[in-house]
Amino acid sequence: MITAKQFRQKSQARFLDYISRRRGPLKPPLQLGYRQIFIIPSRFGAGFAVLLLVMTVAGLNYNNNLALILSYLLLAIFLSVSNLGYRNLRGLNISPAISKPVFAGNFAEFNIPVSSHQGQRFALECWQEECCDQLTAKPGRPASLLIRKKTEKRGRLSLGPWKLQSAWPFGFYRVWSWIVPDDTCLVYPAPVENPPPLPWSGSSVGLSSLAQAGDDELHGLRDYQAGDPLNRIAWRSSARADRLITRESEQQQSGEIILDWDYLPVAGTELRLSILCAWVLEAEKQKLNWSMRLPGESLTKGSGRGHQQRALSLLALYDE
Amino acid sequence: MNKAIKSLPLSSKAVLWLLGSLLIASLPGWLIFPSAIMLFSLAMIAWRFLNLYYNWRPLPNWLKPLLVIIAMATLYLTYGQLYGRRIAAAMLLLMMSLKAVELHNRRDARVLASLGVFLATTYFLFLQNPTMLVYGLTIVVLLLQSLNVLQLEFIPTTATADQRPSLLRQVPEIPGISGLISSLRIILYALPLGIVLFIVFPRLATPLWGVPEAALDGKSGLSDEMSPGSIQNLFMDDSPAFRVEFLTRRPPNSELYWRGPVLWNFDGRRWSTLYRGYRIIPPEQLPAVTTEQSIRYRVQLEPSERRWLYALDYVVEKPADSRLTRGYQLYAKQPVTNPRTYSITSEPAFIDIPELSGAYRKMALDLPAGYNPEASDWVRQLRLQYPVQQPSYNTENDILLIKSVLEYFNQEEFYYSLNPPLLGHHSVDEFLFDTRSGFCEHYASTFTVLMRMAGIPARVVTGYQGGYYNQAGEYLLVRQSDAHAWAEVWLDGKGWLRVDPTSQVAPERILSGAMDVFSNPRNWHDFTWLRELRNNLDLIQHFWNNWVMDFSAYSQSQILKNLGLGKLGKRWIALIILLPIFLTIAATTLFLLKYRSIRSRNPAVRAYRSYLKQLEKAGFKFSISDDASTVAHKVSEKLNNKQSIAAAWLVAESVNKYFYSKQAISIKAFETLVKGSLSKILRDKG
Repeated sequence: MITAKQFRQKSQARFLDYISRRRGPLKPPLQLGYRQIFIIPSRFGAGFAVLLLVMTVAGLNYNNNLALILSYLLLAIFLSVSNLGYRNLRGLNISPAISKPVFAGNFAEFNIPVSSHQGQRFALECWQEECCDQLTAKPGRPASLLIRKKTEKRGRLSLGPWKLQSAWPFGFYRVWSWIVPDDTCLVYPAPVENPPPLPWSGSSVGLSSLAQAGDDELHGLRDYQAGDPLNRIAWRSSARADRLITRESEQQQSGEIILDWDYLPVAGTELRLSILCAWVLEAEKQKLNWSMRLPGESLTKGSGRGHQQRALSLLALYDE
Repeated sequence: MNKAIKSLPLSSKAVLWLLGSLLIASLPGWLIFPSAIMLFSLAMIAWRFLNLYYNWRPLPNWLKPLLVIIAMATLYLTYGQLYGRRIAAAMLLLMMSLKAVELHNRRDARVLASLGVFLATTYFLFLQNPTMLVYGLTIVVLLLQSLNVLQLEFIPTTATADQRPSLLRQVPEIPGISGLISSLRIILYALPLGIVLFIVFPRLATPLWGVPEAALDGKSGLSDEMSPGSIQNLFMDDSPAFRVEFLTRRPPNSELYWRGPVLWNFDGRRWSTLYRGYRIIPPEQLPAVTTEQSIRYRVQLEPSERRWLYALDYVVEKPADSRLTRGYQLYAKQPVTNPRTYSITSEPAFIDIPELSGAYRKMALDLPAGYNPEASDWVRQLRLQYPVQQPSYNTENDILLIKSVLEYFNQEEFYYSLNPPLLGHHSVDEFLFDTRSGFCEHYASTFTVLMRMAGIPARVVTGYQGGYYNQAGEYLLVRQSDAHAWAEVWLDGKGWLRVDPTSQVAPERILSGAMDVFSNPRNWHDFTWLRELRNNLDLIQHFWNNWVMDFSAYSQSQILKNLGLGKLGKRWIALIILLPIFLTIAATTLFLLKYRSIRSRNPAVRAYRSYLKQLEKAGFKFSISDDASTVAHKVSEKLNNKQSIAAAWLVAESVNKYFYSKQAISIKAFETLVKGSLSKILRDKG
């Protein structure tokens, strides 16, 4: 049993496959030509045409020349507007979408650059089940349509087929082109909200926190400074001193952290990935040097934005 | 998809455009509908304006049916009925204004724009002058522009706006005047096809459905009744009644009595037509004589929604679909709802009915009892002076009696006045001996009553007198203000004779026209120079009527005949009709899709395009999506000279600078640079 939505998607995919075979590619970069552009009177346009016909017949009946002038002129406008609507899309350039990676649960934003070499292109709308965005493109001015999609899981989110549509100038006709891009947006795992503390020198999370809880005195203590992580605070000493005291550990000074899949004391791939993701963010926040180990993959010690992005991509695409 | 469009809210700019257009679309209603209906409609539109401005809440749902009821009640109370063309048009206006109250989303806006277009068309049922056409076109342009504005704006639904706040980053870019110009340009593209359709699209020789006479309600022009004040009201109306082109000779103004409704019945106050007066003159009684005195002329009648046609006395050749009544009035088969042109020959010397049958004689002498005793006594005295003679064809005394009555009007202190005092029960008595001031209808009415008292058959004729002769257009313009009433008496052997008592009181009315009788202006905007100007401007209307308004199935067949195609078969005719339509559509399409897209308004774009074209001629090959750098790359691959390679890259650089960065290069500099580089490259290529 398939649902109506599935059926619709399936038949749409079949249709798009058919037109791209018969009428040329629909994958950006793409310049729209007559083989890609469809046009049909909108429901409003059809109603307006009926109104015009009624006006014409009435004008003919009474031989009312002024009414006839008006209705013939409107009929002529109705016809020539179809050319304008078609011209509005013809020769429009559509580039592959640009998207920044996002964490699962957020919106993926696909920015689709459209540009026109000649003439303004009015009221271009992008549709994916509903109208997502609209703009007017001027020649030589870069502009992009935006499609936002809610992400649910990590991995690559594909943009999917979308429709470039315009009813310009008067809404009498619907002119549209199907675009079937293979654009994707990288979706990182969602970081867990309250991650366990960072694993110091590769020890397992539970053990290290237990061990460290007891021997405050083993390490040097200093006053709390803004930015110190909460799990570094020496609570007992703080209670005694009546002010916040932070532990200084050797690991922190040397900044040696290994984010290791195997040491995570939880089950489930996605949860592990989410914790690792949160750790990566935390480690970067503290400007630490860190490395990461995943089954079958590893990332050597490093830090910085690029390092973080590599790690997050590894997490996003783990086991895919 | 449709659900999305339905729920799209409107920006205030779109609402303003649409409401403004609707306001302008409703204004001509002042000329057509009673002011109660106009006030209601304007109030509705004004409410929506204020609602937008002060951000009021929409009207509660229970109020809407109430408003509809109020609108329909207004309609019924002002017109007294709920059918007829004027009422249907008024209903359309009311519906439009009611819909404007609940203008919320794109769908409402589109419905409203359609209603506006339809309303503009219905105005042409009542007003058919060039100004109205221009106004109607303006309405259409504004409504189309409103549709354009609707299309250009994008406002996410409230649901999506919550979900995706970043969509609100887009302030809808809505064109103002520049958008209007582009809408106008679209109309220009459509104009050729519109004109071709107007000329060649087949017209109906006979209408599919007729206009029921009950649906007509002639509100302007002469009516078939006359009571004190009715013609006087017309005197204020400067709109044209008809125009006349004389084909033979033009009689002097004093002879131009344009015969309209003939009134026989008098009830003491009001004159009305006689049912039997509408009877047709049997064909054998119709004259077929024309003499050298006959006048041939063509009348171009403005729509009056009445059936009578105006003519000079006496019609000897009448238009095809008309007939002559016993009152010698010309009567059309259909009410005149469109401008209509007809040709007539009149013979002034003709004698109308030398013998009056008993029934008609009785009706021409009938007076209500119990009215005007003093006048009756006065006539009796006069009759003693000029007694009835025998045999009846001896009418000398009758003529003397008529003359003495006219002399009485002439000698005594009678005034021709626009504001005569109101008359009571014995209106003739009061007028004759007391007030002595009145308009033509007072004189015609009083004179006819006096004649009937004296036993001379008499009736009142209404119509128009005189007119303004436009030298430039060589036609006579007769306005509503030229409306006139005169009397006819019947004398044995002489038939019906026209007697105009007004000429005894104010001879200048007959000699030089209605306007010259009074020295005071009729109202604050009545100036002689303005009247002159309007008389001259009427020439435009005259040509308009000749060339545009008269266009009909007959004109179409005349065009074919003039082209020598009058005798072709139906298939050929169909081809001749369809061919220009298809050719125009093809030409418009070609123009829009080829020419318009190639030619750019930006000189820099044109320069760069001609650069590419010249290079392609020289053997370079580019694809349409190549950007400037790719072009330069392709060009430099085939060049040897370092200078010309540099020139090619210089072009690419300046194109990128000009179009894509904010560095300013003047168009002139750009053009010379492109041209110079081109010549270098071409020289190198060889």
